[in-house]
Amino acid sequence: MKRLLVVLAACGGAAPEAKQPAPPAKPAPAAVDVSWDKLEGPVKDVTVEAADATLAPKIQALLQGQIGKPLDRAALRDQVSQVFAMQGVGSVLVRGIQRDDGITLELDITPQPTIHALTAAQADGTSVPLPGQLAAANGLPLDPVLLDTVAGQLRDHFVSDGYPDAAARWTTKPVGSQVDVSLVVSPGTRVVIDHVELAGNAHAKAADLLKVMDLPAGPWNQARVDRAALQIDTYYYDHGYVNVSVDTPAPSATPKFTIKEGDQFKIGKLSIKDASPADEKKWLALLGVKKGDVFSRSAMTAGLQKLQDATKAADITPVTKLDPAKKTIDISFEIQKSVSPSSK
Amino acid sequence: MKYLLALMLLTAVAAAKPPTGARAIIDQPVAIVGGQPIWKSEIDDTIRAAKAEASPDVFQKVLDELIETRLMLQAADAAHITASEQEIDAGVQEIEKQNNLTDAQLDTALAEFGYTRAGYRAEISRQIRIQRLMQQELVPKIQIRASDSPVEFQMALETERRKWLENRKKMVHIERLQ
Repeated sequence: MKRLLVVLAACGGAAPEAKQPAPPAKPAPAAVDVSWDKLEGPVKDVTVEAADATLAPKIQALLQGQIGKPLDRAALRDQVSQVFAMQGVGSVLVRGIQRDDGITLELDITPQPTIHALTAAQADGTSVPLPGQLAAANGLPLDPVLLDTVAGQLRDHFVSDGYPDAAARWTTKPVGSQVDVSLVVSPGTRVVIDHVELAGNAHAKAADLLKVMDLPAGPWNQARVDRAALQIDTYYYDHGYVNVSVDTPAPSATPKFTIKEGDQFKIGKLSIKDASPADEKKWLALLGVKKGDVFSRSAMTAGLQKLQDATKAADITPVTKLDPAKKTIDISFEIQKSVSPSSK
Repeated sequence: MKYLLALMLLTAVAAAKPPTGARAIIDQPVAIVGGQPIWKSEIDDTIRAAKAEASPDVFQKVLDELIETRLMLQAADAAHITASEQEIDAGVQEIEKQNNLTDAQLDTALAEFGYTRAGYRAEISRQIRIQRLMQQELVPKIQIRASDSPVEFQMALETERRKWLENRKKMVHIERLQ
């Protein structure tokens, strides 16, 4: 029962369509007489309180299916989420009113506020130029998706300039029926790489690794650091170290990549499943690698491509078997033939 | 005495029914995550399913979890990660098998926690999508293999999940309304 309970405990509502958030200037809800679960009877009708008169018929049509049924908060939630996603809707409050013969659902719609003023600054108050999309936002309806996008762009700008922990957020403050929007960037500490350090590379020259890593001094760039670690990985795989692991360093002026090389493996027995001896000999020759060679992922990939071209196979699966004692890798190739149109 | 008890029960029932015109808040957003609301009813349902006692601390803890779940689901949506009906069927069957339940017994168990079959299937779909997102985004960053050391793998996965969530929280607008 454990997993069932875990699943149940984790139960949340369905993710609705992305849409506008509630405006911060929300009026206090009306006095409530009873808890929602005390309401009795089926849903009799749906009323909508909205400044935009065009919304009411749309919302009533959406919630039509609730009428005549007992109050089902989960089902209602899914539909009200759709109301929330409607253009111009800032927030939704759902009330129930007890009638003699059932329940009236009342949806109180708060409209999306318009922007009074928009500013962008760093946390220390240093002004940040507003991106083009927001240069003339005053007076327009609040668009959270656009603001999220712009905040993301601002963050990316700082991250790419060596601020790996940069964050950008926007907040609103009510001004009458409008809101002031503040975009605030917290850059964090700038990290500039001075030089890269390596540890654990007993069987590879640091110069060779640094060359393939291609990580010059300069502002920290996480994508380049991740790529550099991957390049080390590739280098070792091409030199037989198939159990290599590389720890990507945390942001630092002198990032240290720690390598666990593992053993070097050579190619063991090579075979092609279900091939005749003649075909097997011919096709294995195409691979360009042979038993006793140091394993190289790149060489094996190139050989596989040649094999695929020659056999016109739909797919070739190399099934590997490592022998840690002998430090060899046996590889059996399973060729999946293409189905020609005439054979159908 | 029998009639007195019946009368008392009738009186109790009558007292429980709210008067005509009584009003109740049925639902309202408690947070907005990336433009999507988290509803008060979601928190109530989660607390009820966990058979926990409602308190401000529990409310905040559940809200935190729902926010994180929503962040992961939004990322899964952005990555076009889906769960097919067959995968959900398989998930339900696996849970029935693990708990030695028939279809009917599962429905009874779900009802005890206040869930319908449709709601439960939706939850399984969410869990499959989150699992797939983690497989795609987080597992490649872990050096430990699950088959070598399941416990260490799970710990490393949780560490990566926390890092991913902290990073995501810097990127997505989250507004707490309560």
